[in-house]
Amino acid sequence: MKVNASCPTSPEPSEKAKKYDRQLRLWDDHGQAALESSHVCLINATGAGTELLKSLVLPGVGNFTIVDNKLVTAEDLGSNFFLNKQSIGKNRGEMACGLLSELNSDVRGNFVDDSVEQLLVNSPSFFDEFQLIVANDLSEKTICDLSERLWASDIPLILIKSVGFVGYMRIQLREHTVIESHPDNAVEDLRLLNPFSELKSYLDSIDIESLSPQRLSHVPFPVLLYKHLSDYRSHSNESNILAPLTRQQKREIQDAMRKAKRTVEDRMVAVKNGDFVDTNPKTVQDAENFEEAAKAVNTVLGGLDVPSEVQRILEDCKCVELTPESSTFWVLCRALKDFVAEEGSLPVRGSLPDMTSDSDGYVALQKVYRDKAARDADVVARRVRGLLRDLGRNADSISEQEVKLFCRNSAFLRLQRGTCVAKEFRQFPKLVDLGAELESGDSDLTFYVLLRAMERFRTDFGRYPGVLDAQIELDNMQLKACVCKLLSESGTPVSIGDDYVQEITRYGAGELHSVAAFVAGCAAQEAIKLLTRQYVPVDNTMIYNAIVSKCAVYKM
Amino acid sequence: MPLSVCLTMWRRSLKTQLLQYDSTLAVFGTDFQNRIGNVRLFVVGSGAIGCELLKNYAMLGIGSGPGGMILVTDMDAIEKSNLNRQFLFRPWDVGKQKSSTSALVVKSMNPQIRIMSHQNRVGKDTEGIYNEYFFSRLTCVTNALDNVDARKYMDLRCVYFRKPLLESGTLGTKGNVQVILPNLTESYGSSQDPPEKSIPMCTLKNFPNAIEHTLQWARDLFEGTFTTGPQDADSYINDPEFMDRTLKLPGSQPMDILEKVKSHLVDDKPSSFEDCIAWARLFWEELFVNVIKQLLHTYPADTTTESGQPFWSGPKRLPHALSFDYDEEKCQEFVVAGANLRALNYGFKENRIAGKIIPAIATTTSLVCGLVCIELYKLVQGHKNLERFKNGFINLALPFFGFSEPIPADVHTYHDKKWTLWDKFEIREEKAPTMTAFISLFKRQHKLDVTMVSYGETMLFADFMPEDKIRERLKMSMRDLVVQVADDDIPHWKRALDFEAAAEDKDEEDADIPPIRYVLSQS
Repeated sequence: MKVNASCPTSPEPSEKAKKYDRQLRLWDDHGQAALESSHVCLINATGAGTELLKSLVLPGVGNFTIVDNKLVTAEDLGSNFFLNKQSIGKNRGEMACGLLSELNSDVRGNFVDDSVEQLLVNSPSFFDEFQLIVANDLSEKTICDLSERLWASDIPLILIKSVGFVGYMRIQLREHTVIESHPDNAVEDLRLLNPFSELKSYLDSIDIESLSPQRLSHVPFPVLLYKHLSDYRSHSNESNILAPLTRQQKREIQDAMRKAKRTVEDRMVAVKNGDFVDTNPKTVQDAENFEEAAKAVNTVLGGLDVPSEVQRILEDCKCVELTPESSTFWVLCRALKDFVAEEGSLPVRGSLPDMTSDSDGYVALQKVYRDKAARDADVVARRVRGLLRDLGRNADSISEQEVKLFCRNSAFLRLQRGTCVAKEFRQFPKLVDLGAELESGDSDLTFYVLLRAMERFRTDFGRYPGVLDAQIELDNMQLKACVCKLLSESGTPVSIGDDYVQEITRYGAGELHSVAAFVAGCAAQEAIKLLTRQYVPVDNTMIYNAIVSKCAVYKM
Repeated sequence: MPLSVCLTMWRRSLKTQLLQYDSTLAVFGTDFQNRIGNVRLFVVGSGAIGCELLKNYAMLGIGSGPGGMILVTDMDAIEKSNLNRQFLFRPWDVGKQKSSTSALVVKSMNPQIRIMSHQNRVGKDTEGIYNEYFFSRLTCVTNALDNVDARKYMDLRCVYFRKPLLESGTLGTKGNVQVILPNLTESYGSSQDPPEKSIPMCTLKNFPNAIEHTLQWARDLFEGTFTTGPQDADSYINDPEFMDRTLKLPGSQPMDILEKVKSHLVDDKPSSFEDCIAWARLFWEELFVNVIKQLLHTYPADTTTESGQPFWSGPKRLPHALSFDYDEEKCQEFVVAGANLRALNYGFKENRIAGKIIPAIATTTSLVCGLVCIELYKLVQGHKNLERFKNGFINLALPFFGFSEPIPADVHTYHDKKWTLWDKFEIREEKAPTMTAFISLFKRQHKLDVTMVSYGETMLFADFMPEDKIRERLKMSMRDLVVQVADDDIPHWKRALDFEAAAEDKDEEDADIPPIRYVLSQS
């Protein structure tokens, strides 16, 4: 195609926007900005570790630092794509850092040739500059020390492990708050059962009785539902229908909508040659909006209550008692709490779903919701400014943009409070269902116990079971002893089959690239969730069993 | 499944000195490592999934043995937006071929890998290259495709040649893996996703309220303006039946089409680039100003006018049809610009989306490809037991991980014979050179009365044909029927022809029978 230089072209998206185009659809510009301002630390450049970094470097994490004091061995090459023959004998972190940095010129890679143990002793503040630490291949003791160190500084930690056919991931965080949780099937916020005054007066102003059937078939479905509800109110003795509707009431409304649909369609056929000519023969016949109304009964006529998850957040003491150090999230929540107390409901979301409608009707209705959402956000923003002033902080330190985003997502707020790994490791968790699950024979908790036993073995013997050919039988027995000890510590009166123990021993702590890729993919996604503060992270342990392809999440 | 069964399937044999594949050796043993080396894989596509798979294969040493190889094919060149997940490519690779670039990188990471690259699209055109001989030497096909049509095509080929297929895909944080095994499972095409919900026509035309609507509108507009319009104009000139065919169309379609033809050939026919600029400017005015103004004042009315005049005059300079190509910047800009402008009309959020592009990230791909490799291990070990294999469905956003056994192939029956989509009648040409011999062979060997035989879309024989035609067809050889009646050529590489037949069983009921593979004599 001929390109004319004098031809004006549309503004080009920036190089960055082009490169990251496919992921911006998931977490938007502000998510990307959060990712790009993050510094992530990887402890030990194993196969799984470098795979995880790869999945952070490609989407453009700001900085990464690898802490590793090991030298590259031939064995590393079998599971680690970011090392090559020339790397053998050199520092593993440095070699992996070089090849990983090639993936994305926007990302700055660093390495530190030191052990975590040394760093924890000599320069404990080293870890404070990171937004996230990912660690693997550490002894039980080091994990505990690191976990306590990070717990104290409130820096999230992700532990990963890939051994033979078993994968493991554990997320440690003190508190994680999410505004944009991106729920899969969010219920539309239309307020039809309890309309705000502007919505009520707009809906009341529409006279659907006088409309021709063709026009009626293009009335937005929320209007139809509202009209039906007010008719019902005036004809029945119940002056108020309040949520939740009974199943019977819902079914009645649905039946009424479908009946009205047929009536309207019959009338349309009758006047087909009258005042209305539509070029699309299909639309002449259908009053699809009535069907949409019937389908929406179960979703949009739901409860008006603040969702329980959000209610819990609003009642949290961090929300009730703000301090000058309170995070933006908690200040916003407090403003929301006060708003709810005053208005009796969350701010209106302001979005209208896709529906069959004429454009006038749709745009007008959309405007009613949008205007109300803007007004609600203003009210919240005013409260936020007041709260900030009361706390002695800059009243403009939380932008209107942030308040709007928060209000739009106020029904989807999430709060996670985690547990410290050191605590889990020092006192074997009292898992209520451990006994029952293990007894059933094929629980993935079996692998949790085995991985823990492996670490215990390493603490006791300075190496993992199965790495020395001559010692396999002995290792097997020792590992079994570790398992028994752990189980008795936890007060679980069951045992784990010998075949499971043998399976772990025969891995010889070997990392299988495919399993590492799986674990790393999961963990990298969790890392992105933590860094962008979008989507809901795993709470808090995941175990992958590739022998039979099973994956389970447990809270430890 | 009891664990002990799984354990024996991956029993470690012995541990050798430190080697590249040491961990794999520890878990699987040397015998298995040799088997992996001699695997012959066809990797279809070298995008996000392709890169990730090739890396995994390099790590495992697939195709590094004397009998092994990997062939990767992809017709696309590397683009900027690939770099956020197709990690074998660097900024300086933009514009190079995906397949050859990825093969080079993989080879440099593991020099023992025997890997070749093609720039072919899989499809009818390349059946001479990816022919029966090619497939017969493969261990397995791993799809790394980004569209359903190509997936369906490879699925058909794998079923036809009875080769295992590992199918996978991602959509944002969602991913899936499907294992397709000859004679055991259903195929990719057996279970269909529900069709995408289409947007009602009137929403598209007049009542858009989401960016998806304006996108679809822009795509339709492009199709109508730059593809079907010129095609119709071409047919109007060159195809004598075009008018008859068009006039038989229902509703306002004949008029719409003919008006477009007139616009292309008479009213808006450009003679210079300046004309094109003028047209584009007017088109813009029309789309984003006039139409909207009209819509806001009046209801859309049918603007039928009486017009039967010949449109055509002047020299026959024909516009030619463009095929829409997102890699072509101008096309992309049109849609992006069109969609965004349309969004401005209706006052909702602009977006940088350029068409039916789905979000994609490295994490999901990494994980899905890990799962593909786990299934590949099992396949290479030669397991025939369905419950050993797992299809996977994941959503990292939730997160959700679901695994299920592949669904067995549907069983069909005629007489007391059971068959599945993997089965075919195999008939050798020398045993049944003519239609007569073909039909009597069915009678003799399978107790089936053939009532109809077809090749592709063409009916070669049917018992309801006129008698003289039946007599003529019965005498003809199967080869001649294909060449003369079905008008298809039989290239030298073709080893077999595919026929379908309808037949009645012993009780004169319609029999549910598999298709027929007619093996040609090699003369």
